[in-house]
Amino acid sequence: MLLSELCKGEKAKIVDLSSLSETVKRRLLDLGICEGSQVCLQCKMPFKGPCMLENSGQSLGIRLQDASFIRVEKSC
Amino acid sequence: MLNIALIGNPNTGKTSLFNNLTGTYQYVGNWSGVTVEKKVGVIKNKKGNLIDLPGVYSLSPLSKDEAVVSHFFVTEQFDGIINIVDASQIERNLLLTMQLLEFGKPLIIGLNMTDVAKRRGITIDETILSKLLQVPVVPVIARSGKGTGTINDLLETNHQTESSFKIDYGQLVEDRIKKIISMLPSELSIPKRWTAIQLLEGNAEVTKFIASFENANQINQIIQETNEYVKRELGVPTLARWIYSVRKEFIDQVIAKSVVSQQDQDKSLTEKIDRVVTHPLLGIPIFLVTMFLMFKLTFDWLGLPLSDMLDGFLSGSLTNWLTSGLNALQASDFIKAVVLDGIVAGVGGVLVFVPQIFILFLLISFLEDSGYMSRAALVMDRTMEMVGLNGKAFIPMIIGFGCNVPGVMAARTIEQPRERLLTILLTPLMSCSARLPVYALFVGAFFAKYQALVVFSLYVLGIVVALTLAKIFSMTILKGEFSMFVVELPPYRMPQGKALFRSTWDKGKGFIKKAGTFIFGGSVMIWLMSYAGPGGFDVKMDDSFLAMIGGVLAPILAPLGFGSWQAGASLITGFLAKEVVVSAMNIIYHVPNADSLQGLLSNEFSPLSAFSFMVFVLLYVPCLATVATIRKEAGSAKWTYFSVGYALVIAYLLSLVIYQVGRLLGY
Amino acid sequence: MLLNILFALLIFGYAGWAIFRHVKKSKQGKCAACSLAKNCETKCDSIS
Repeated sequence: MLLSELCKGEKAKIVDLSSLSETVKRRLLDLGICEGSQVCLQCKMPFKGPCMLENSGQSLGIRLQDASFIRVEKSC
Repeated sequence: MLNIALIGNPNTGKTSLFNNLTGTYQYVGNWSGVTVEKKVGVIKNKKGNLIDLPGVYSLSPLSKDEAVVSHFFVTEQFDGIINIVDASQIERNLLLTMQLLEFGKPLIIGLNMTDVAKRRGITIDETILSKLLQVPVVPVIARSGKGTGTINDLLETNHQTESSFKIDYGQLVEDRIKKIISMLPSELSIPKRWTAIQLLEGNAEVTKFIASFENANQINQIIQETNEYVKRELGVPTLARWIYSVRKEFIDQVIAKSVVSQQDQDKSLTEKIDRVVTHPLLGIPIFLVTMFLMFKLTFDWLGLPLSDMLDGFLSGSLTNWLTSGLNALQASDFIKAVVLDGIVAGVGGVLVFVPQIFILFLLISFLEDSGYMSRAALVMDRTMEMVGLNGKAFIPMIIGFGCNVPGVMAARTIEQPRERLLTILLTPLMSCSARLPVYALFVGAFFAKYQALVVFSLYVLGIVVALTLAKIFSMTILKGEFSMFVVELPPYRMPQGKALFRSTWDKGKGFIKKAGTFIFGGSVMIWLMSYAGPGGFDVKMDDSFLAMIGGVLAPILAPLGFGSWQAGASLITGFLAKEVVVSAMNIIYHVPNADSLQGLLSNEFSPLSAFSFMVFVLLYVPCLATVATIRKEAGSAKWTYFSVGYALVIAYLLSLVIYQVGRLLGY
Repeated sequence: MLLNILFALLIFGYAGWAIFRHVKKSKQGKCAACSLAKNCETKCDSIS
């Protein structure tokens, strides 16, 4: 499934970043987020606004459109 | 003299450490990108210079402030590095450390925020970490300065030991690294292995640096070959990704040995606050209410009584003392006039607003230190995206409320050049504190009951105009490629009283200094121009040089509702610094204090034309210092002229519409 | 009278100097806004 399809508070593991644009991918890698990282969707802004992610104690915001290029696996 | 570079991820406390190591004061905030240009200070023990660099995640730059760091590494000589590492995010912090270690210069790791890490259940054994990385690791608390003594001592002993750190990138890549090393010129000023690895990683600054060498083409060819090879043989998408994952694996091993983390994460305060301020529906209203309360506090609740007191002192006691003092010295009428009508009226008229400006700066500093800025960027991103910008552009704009100059510079954190230019061009529309005295004067005279609301509406108007223009520009002259937005949201911190007052004072003292120097000078000159005319000295004000100059503009400004030479003359002086508009009016209308000026103004202006005048002052031209900064930051004279030109046109049109429509509506 | 001339010289001299310095500093742009300008050896022109 896609990161953008997660609901608020759900956790997932990232499985594929390859369809993401190069700069956004670079930035995520800079922040230590790559395939295999655990993320938790903290909230989504209205009107298809950006969403807030949590990854090992840090929070970051990315656009919903970018999130829809990230494939994840829901962890139970 | 030693030159020591201070480097680390954004928002890890570099600038705090810099302040504590050098004893000078630099501006600190809780958002990524506070430092956008390197700053040099002298270390307290006088043994060397400390260079504070912008925060970066990697030496491969994506944005302009990151390019400053890469450029520094490639071109400048330095003797050692202090790498500040955020203990609570040690994993990604070490990604940068790896690249610094490869550079081979003596390195000291300052381990910051261990308290935050502990609260999150992370404990780091710094002796093991030090052994694994073969460099000294010093736990520090950058905000209080704990641990800086140890770093100071280490700087003296450590600078001979070059580190010989090496990561094995696998046979295949290592062979290519060797090959590139052999092709680099022998007199290369930077470490060859590091250069080769950065080239393979695709560091744009290093590639640019190498481009002038004779075998640059061959090197590029090797890089391309390696890239294909890695894809085929190792099954990773790019070479850079391969290097990244080797480093990451190494870091995981280091962390497994030196870091103990417990799983029990309690819900932190940050998450609780975030649930409110980044609430899907309440986020934007909360932002607006915060801003409104800020103005309410600045004008109605706290600022007004204070500045009334100051006004009373300046126009009462001080003027009396000066008059009797000058009389006692038997000063001539000319001297009395220049002191009382020129200096006291001009400088005093601006000084009266010092309390308001300091309160506003205090509140802005509070917002910056607390960590709310990045949340504002997140909340505003959707709106900004619609006009062709991204949420990060909002931070320079808020900084611009304090002063446009640092605002324009803060635009460096924006990755896309197009968005950055757009932000630079639009930040001057943010109402800076120098425009505040003008508003304060006019709202006091015409909108006494609704002061905060009217001023708030001007600030909002500035934002709305900026967003509208962003939309227009990005559809016409600055057509957009794609835009990107990834923002780090730092944990909230309670701003420290001392740091807060320091940064408020730091921003505000410029205002007082300006009052003592430039506004003083300006007042004297304006007074002189109003005192002298073609007919000689001590002419009637209407026959003075100032009236002649202002009179040229008057007919042009008449449709806006303020077609007097007085308005024209004071607007001209405002280009040098916007506060001078108020000084000029005080002098022109020959009044001792703000109260009587407000009384006089109500004969010259109507509430509607006063509002139109304020709008014009808000938008008309950036001040001289801002124009110069735009010139430097945009790197183009064309865009600089454009920024002045469009502002004049917009100011004129908007004031015209407001005044004419307002008149039709019967105000 | 002498005192008056002295006063006038002081006031106008200082005023002229203050304006001159402000314009000069403003033209440098960003350095004017930097609190470290005195200690800063690079004068902020490292990057074009």
